[in-house]
Amino acid sequence: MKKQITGALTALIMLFTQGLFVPAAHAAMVTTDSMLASEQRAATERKVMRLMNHEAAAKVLAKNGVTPEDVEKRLGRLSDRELNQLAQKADQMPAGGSVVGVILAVILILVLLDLLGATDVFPVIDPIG
Amino acid sequence: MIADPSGGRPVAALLFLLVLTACQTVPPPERADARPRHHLDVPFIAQEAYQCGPAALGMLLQWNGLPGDKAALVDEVWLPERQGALGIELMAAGRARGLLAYPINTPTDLIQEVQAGHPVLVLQNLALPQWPLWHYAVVIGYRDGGDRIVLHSGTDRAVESRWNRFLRTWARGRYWGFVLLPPGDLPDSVEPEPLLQALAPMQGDTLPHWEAAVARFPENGRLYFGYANALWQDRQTDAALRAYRATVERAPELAPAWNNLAYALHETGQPRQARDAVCRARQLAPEDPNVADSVAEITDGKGCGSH
Repeated sequence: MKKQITGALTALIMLFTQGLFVPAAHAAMVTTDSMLASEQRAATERKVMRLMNHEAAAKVLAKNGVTPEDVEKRLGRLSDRELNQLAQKADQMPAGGSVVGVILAVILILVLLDLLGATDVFPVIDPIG
Repeated sequence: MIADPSGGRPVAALLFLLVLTACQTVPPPERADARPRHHLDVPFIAQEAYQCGPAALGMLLQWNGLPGDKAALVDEVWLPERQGALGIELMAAGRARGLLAYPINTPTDLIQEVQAGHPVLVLQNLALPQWPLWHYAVVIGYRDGGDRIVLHSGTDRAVESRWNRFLRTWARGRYWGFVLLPPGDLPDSVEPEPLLQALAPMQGDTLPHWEAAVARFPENGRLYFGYANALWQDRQTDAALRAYRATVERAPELAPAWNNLAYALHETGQPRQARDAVCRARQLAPEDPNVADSVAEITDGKGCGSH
């Protein structure tokens, strides 16, 4: 009986939340602030993707069967806040310009984007190093 | 006195900067020579305890002719658990009162603003980088061709500091500072893009600020966009329509401007021109979901097709 109630409740909640998440048409005037916000977002995404185009990054991606398109798609799903946090973390990687720095940053991003499990990190570093 | 400025530049760069400034004697900006001394009339509020942020903010507000009651400001911007105020909150508090909060981040700009009669709120680190002692003060003038700078600082009214000493403490504060200006007044050192960034988050009646902005940079399409939006928000539909037209003339690649122009045309009963405008936006931003929805709405679901 209890199970049935829980089940019914879950179904009800799902029904409601789905109703909430039906994409509303957001056709509208663009405010100045939102224009700047979306420009900022696009610039951050480009920055992350530029990193993915690095030669060393390409190797990491290939090793894990991840394409730059996969990364781009995942980035698109992040909220602005999450994207900024991710970009900031990548910025904080040591030796930003070096190959090792790039590899570490790419791995970090892949882990954060859930494209690569944290436990896989060390085997990845090894063959490349 | 503890404070936390906005943004975070790499610590390494900061340290490098500190090493540089620590062993160099940097002369005051050359432009200070033109007018060897300058003193602004800025109301003074002495700080209590660690509350230099609210006091410094209060001085700028009073200079603007607004109430700058320290006790009220403490409640608004002071964080008890940090014993300090956040820099971005000081700017936001000014913005919320309809003032333009514009960043001042170089010694030259600092002197230039003082010469223009604008007091500058600065963040200083009075101690070591490792054990920072953050402090907000208001630069109200300078003398001896910039060799000495005059500040309202802490409990000291119009206290003088040697330029080099001040510059070191300001550098340790990452050259963080800003002016708070009334509608219609712009910083002397103003640049279009930072101005756009400073005005965009403002709410309420922002029109006078935007009018000043486009008067100062009449060829800048991005500022015109903000101006047009402010007119639209003020329900000056016809003026907004003209301003959107002026925007796309100046910035023909700006998709949001074409999008908004389309709505203004739509609203004023010009459906065909509205369709052309929104389809132009679509061309410029083919993947923008907002523009895609605008196309559907403006063309009644017919889309742009291939003419």
